[in-house]
Amino acid sequence: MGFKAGNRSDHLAWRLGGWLAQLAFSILILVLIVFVLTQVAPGDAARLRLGPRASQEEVDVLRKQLGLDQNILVQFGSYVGRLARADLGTSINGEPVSEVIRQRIDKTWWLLVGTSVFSLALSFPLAWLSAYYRDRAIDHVIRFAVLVALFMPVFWIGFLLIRFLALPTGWFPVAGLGSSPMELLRSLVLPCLTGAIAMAPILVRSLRSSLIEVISADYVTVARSLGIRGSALLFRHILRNALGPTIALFSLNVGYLFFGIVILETTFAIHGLGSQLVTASIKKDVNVVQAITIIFAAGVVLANSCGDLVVRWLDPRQGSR
Amino acid sequence: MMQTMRSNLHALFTLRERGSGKIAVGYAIIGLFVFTAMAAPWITTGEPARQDLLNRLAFPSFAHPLGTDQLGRDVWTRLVYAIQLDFRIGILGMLLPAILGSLIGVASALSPHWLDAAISRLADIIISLPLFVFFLALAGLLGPGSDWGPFGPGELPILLGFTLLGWVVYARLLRTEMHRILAMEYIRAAITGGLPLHRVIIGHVMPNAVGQTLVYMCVDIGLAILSLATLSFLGAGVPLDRPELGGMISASRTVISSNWWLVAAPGAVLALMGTGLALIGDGLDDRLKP
Amino acid sequence: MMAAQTPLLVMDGLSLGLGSGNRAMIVPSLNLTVNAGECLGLVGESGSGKSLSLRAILGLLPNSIHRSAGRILLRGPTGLAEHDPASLRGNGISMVFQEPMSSLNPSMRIGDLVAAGLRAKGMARGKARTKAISLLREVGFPAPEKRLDDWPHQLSGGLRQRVMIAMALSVEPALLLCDEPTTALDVTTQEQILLLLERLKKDRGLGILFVTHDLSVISRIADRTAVMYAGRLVEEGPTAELLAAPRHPYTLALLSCLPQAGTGQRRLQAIDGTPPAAGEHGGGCIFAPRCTFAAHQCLTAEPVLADIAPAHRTACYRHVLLREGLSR
Repeated sequence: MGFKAGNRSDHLAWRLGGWLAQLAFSILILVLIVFVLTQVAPGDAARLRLGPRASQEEVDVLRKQLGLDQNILVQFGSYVGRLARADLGTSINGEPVSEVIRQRIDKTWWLLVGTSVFSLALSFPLAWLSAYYRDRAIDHVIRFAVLVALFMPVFWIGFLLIRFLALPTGWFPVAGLGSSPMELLRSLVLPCLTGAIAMAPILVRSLRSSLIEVISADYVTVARSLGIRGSALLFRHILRNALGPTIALFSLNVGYLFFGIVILETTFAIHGLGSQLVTASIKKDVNVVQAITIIFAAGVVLANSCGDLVVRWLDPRQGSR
Repeated sequence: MMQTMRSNLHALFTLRERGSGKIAVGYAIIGLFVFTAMAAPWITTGEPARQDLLNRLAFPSFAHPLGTDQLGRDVWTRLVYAIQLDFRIGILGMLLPAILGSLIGVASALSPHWLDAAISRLADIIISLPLFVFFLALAGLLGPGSDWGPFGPGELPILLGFTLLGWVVYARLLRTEMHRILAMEYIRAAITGGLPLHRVIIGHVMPNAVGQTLVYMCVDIGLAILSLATLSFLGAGVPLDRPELGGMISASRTVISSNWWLVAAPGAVLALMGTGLALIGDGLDDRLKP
Repeated sequence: MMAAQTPLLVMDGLSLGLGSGNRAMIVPSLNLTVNAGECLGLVGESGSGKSLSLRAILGLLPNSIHRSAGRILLRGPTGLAEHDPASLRGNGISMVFQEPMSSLNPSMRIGDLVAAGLRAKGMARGKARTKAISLLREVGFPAPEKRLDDWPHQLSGGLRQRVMIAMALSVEPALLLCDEPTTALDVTTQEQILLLLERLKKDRGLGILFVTHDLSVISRIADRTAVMYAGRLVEEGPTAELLAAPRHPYTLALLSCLPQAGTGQRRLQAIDGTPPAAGEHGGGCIFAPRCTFAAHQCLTAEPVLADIAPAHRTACYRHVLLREGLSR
């Protein structure tokens, strides 16, 4: 067994290296694209910072300070250099970008965790019903509902929930996140439910087909032929084998989830990274936009990698070679 | 092989085969919207921007079937013009990436191996990145701009974004099909025997690729409309004064407790439009399945 | 050796149809008897309904297929009694499946797999584990006590099939259903598994219902053989007799499809035509359209299974012709 364990970690080291390379490459591409964008974006960065009333001389001085008078390649080089030193620069308001992010990242994190939990809690039972009763009425109803939900704007779902659930009952706050743990949980319900409804179309479809695959697997028939039923059949023979595909599917869709979070933060007036990205991009606050896009991209690559790792860990076939 | 293409196109317009139910319902829904959009001058006031400040937030009435908004504009009129605008952007936002992607797919398959591999890798990365987040940053940074030829303010950056990010799916479809056909023994023999490449593409690749592409195109229009609405809601799409479904929802959010239908109606229209398109795509898919 | 046999399983008029309603019958009405301690081979082309009939015994049919009529009787302490298929699972009857690759739950260890049936019956964990070791030893699994924690994917096809058999034996069945258990294996492994099943039959007095499309496997293991075509039983008799002197043209055709080992020449021959699809049968003998012996009578009225020798039955009007033709 010893040599097998050794093989496994070797294998892992390779994969880890692969992920890091992928992350680095993705970020490099991203930085490049964002940088090019800031070059073609209308308006002068120095002018934007100083406002329309500043004199041309002041703008010129700032341009020199920011290095905007140098050629594009030099600018890109120094920009990448600063990023490598984890210097994210300052926002239009002169605040360090790292500070802007530090203040907001926890809200986005809670939203991310909450929406993930709600999404699985909503999508998995739906997919299960749909798979278990496949081609029967309930399956058709779920599949149609999910098709319609694919084209429902996230913010629209949010507003309707606010209007018809939160306002009449008064159970949930409609804006912001609470600070005490209880308040936080209560304020997370509405945005996370909204996010879960928006994620459902993407998750239910694929989850349904992987559940069908497991339900109709030969080993499930074998287990049934031995008289195994009920929870033993469900947990040990079916759900245990559906866990891997579910996690894989979820981690693949984290990119979509991140965008959902941007909309959720705007809809429910939560001051996290997503809503900051929206305001910053409209204000052409380039440094902030760059930093947040990179964080999101890194988050997606990280989530993909973690998902991959967990799936491998769960599947005994992947362990040894 | 031309036969396949014709039968694929045929499949789109006939109603007597597998999946016809879905396609018929889809056509009915989309037909209704197309009719509404085209008949706009006759079934509405024709002036989506006209304000009536004395008659703000009116309840639905005969003169204003959906009431009026905060500026006293007729919401029914705005909704119809929004359908017009969203539909137009949706179709363009599907068509441009489809054309670019198909071209890239064909070119990639014909390129030397390293270039082909590089294009695939780029496509993988674009797929794996948080696309929409990125798109938002792009649309926001570029700003709405102003009118440009036939495009109203805000439309051009969005179409540019759709095209830059949306080509991937189409490129993959075409590339796979190209590789499949080019690997066939008799096609290779025919090319060696002097069959021009464009004949291979038109006669052998297109017929099979068209079907799958059409299926995706239907869904893609819906997704493009949804993205447009979302961007407008976030303030990075078309300016809020233009009638657009997402923008209308965004503008009415503050009056949702009293005039909830101002929010509900545009979203419902969007969901219905997308469903109609997806039903057509689904039915078509059923039909193309062997 | 044929004398005084006690029926263990009786399948009485089993009907299987596609979907609900009786429009497309896959198996119109099947009667089969497996005696205690005997191996009955059920042979036929793929699509003949043999595997479905086997699965119907335990109620493990696919969603699209329904049992519309028929009884399943199993001998218990009080004699033959009708049972609900689901109640027989792991309770008097168990089953060995075709694909050793996909039949073992990939996320369970060998020991847990073999113990799963016992645990479902409420046996304690430690006891089930000990039992699993002795079961694995019984099916010839090498050094089972050391390999209880192996995963299925670490085993060869033959070892997996042994695990599968150990799982089936764990519930102490009186009847073992085998659904082509050797088809996916190479010839050497196939031989080992057949030897194992033969030994188990003798040691445990196990009744076996063995489904296969392979007559050479049948000749190795089955005491009696039943031949199935398009959902119907066309011939049934002692294996040696049936293979030496088939009395149904379909059995003869199956035999001539076999490569002949002794003669040095391979006269592989396919049967012309294809079996009818379910529900696509007008009247007359179901095999008539493909039969080289078919006469006018065969096209008008369907022959029924009839005794032609002790314990040998065939559903053919022309069986005498067959006997004469072969003796020439």
